[in-house]
Amino acid sequence: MPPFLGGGSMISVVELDHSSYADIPQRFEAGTPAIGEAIGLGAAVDFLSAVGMDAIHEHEQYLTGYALERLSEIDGVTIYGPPTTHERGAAVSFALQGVHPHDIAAVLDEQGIAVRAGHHCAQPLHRLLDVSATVRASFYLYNTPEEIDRLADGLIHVRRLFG
Amino acid sequence: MSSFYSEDILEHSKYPSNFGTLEHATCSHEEHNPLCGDRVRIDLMIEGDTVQDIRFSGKGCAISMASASMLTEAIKGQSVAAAHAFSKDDLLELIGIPLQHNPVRLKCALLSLKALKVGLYAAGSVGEE
Repeated sequence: MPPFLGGGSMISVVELDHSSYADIPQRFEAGTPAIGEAIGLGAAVDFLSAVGMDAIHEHEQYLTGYALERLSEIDGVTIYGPPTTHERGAAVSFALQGVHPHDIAAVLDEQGIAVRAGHHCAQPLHRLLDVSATVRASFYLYNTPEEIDRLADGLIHVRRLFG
Repeated sequence: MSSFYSEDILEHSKYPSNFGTLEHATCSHEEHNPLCGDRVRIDLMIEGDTVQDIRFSGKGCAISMASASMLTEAIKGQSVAAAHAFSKDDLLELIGIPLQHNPVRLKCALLSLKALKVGLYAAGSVGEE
């Protein structure tokens, strides 16, 4: 299989009229390898191991539960997916009655709150749910309960703006 | 505080002008934005050289709905030539919000214009036959 790209470390012997290439996989890895990324991955693994995956999971579950609680208190919010943190990842998709998800995301963005709006790579599911799109907030170890309060306040602002 | 959602945009999206369909439309055309599922249909009633009536229908975000509402206000009663000449920049000026650096929302804003243009061309070809 010939190389698709030329560059450093993919060559074996260069003659004036022909060249031979390094063995696979070097042949397909022309140029500077992703050294920074490999070192970064190592540092990330060290960091996550020090925090502990169980602690991260617990934190995510707590935030998700708190988000489900806060969002369900808001009039007009429909939450999609399991009603509790059981069998649910740290992401909550929802809709706000009468407001298009892209408008919700844009107004939240103006308040410094980043969410995703759209199909979330699940068009058939949205068709099944009979919604054009949804908004999705997701949480990780660096998120805090105060941020979920800001999300809830932000949604109340959205509802007021479009109400 | 909201740069996208001016009073004007919010008013037009809540209480759109010319919302609905025309029973005896000269032509109608619907455009979709597959990215967000927005759709806008434009119905035109052309008499002689004049866009006598225009309606829009569909579903979408505040920007696509407000833009369609403003567009129909601008086009209603105009000559067909003026409707053909009505440009993207004309519509953006009417909408009056900074969309230049937001290609995704720009598509929402221009969906109704695309439906109008395709509809007009279809009407033109019908007239020539």
